[in-house]
Amino acid sequence: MMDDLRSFNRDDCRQAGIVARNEIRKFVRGKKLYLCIGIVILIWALMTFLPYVFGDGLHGTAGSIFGSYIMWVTLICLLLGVLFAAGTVVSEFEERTALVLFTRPIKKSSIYLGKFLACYAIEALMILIYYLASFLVAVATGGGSMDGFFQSLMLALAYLFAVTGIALLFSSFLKKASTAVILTFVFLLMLFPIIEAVIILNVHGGTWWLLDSLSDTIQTCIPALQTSETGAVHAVRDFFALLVWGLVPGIAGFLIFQRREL
Amino acid sequence: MCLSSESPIEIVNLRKTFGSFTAVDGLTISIKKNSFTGLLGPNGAGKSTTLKVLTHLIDATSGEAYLNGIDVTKSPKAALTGVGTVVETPEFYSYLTPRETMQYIGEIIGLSEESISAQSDEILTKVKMTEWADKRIGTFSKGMRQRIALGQALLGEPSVIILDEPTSGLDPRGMAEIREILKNIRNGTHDLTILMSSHMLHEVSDLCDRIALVNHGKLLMYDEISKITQPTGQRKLTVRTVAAVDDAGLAKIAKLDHVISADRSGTDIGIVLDMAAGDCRSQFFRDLAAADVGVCGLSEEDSLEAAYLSLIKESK
Repeated sequence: MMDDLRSFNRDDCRQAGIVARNEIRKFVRGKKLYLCIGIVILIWALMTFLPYVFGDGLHGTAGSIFGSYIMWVTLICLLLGVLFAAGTVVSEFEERTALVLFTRPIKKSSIYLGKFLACYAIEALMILIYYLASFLVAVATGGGSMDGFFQSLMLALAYLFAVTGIALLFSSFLKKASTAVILTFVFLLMLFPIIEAVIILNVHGGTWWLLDSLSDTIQTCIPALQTSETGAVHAVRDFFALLVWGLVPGIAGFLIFQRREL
Repeated sequence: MCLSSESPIEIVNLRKTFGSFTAVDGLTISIKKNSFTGLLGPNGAGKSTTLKVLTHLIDATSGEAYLNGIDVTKSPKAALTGVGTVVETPEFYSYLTPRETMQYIGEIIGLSEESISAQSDEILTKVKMTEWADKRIGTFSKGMRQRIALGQALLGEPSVIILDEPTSGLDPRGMAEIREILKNIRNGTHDLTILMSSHMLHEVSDLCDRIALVNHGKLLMYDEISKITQPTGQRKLTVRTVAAVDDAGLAKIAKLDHVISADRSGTDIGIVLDMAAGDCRSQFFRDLAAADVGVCGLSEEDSLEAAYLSLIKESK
């Protein structure tokens, strides 16, 4: 099983790229991408225009205005990760396209990597655009400094990586794409926070490594959003911790996918 | 040990278990080069499991399965290079057109752009999908999808093609189309070894030159189809007459050359022909017409079916 990874060579990378390109084509020709774009635009538009509908518009420093947009980033990451990644592996089995792709001279590691890359690339692009659009509004309407933009962006991308890894794990062992999407969503949005809350209540200190705690850093790394209750921000540490959160379930998902039979 | 030059497909002591159920039980077979072999056996005999191991859709519990001399259980990517497959009724990416599907598969197997383009056109013509080459597969019928399945299996001019019930689930027209395509593929010029599992004996006898019969995960027989269907050098025919023949008419038929026996049942006469000296059917038909017993129909017993049922019964 691990031989598959150890002997990964240039041709395997080429094939992973072909799988990724095909996966992106699937997204572009499907409805999911446009649904996600619609949701992200809606969130951005509500944050931008609602203050003008119900008040005097956007006020404050560029940092605080930017921060108000970033409050929704974890939810957007979760939505994107679940919608794109949770169905990507399982659909090959459910729709029986695996009978064509898997019987070709291609390693399962190339297929898995290609799918991971495709999902992550399209999700990351949407987050990047959301950040840029929010940044532009913040700079155009607010004054003062805009510190923490890149730190927050990198942390958001790392969080996205974690969500994608977890979604791929669900996608690797479930039988239906719809079940994988729902379960991943319920797990990340409800069960995981409950488990984390219990851990935080019972373990005093040392819970920074929990996914929810790490995702808070996406906001708290922006100085304008820091309060007296915000402790020291460890952006680099949290960035790598989020990568581990993506890698561990991602690799676990691969091992399950590797063993999965038709 | 593997004799890849003479046996592009070689299975050695293959075993596959699912819990306590043994689907393939020490199967060993060497498929002759350039043959079209039909893999036959009752439901649960281990045909599909064997083909799924060969195409690396499932892992073997033990044993070896070589494709062109490379063990697919150890080096699946290398073993599947130069191999075309159609397993069951595969689905295709509904958002792709047949041409884009060929492009995708062609890129996966490492063909150049020029080669993919040239081969796609040729293959789509061969499988009669030129008209739909640029329409999305999502709207296609099962028969059309199966033709694309056969088409993609031909990409890269494979030396081995593995087919798992390629006409399963198709309507009679779809079956006939697939059979015609397979005949054309078989009659192509380049070296090609085909292994096809099927439940349809007439399909196997129409397309294949060799038969491998499996039951309970074991090989019962692997031989030329003619040797399996005529082991005793006899052929059974049923002649239907306009009215039941009388004793004199029956005796006249029984005395014709090469007739071993003739039995009457209403308007049907069961005849056993002696074919030991060669195919004597045309002479028998002439003699029968000359006997003037009022023949209005004639059918030949499916000898493959008889041999199949006999071998399966013996193996129980």
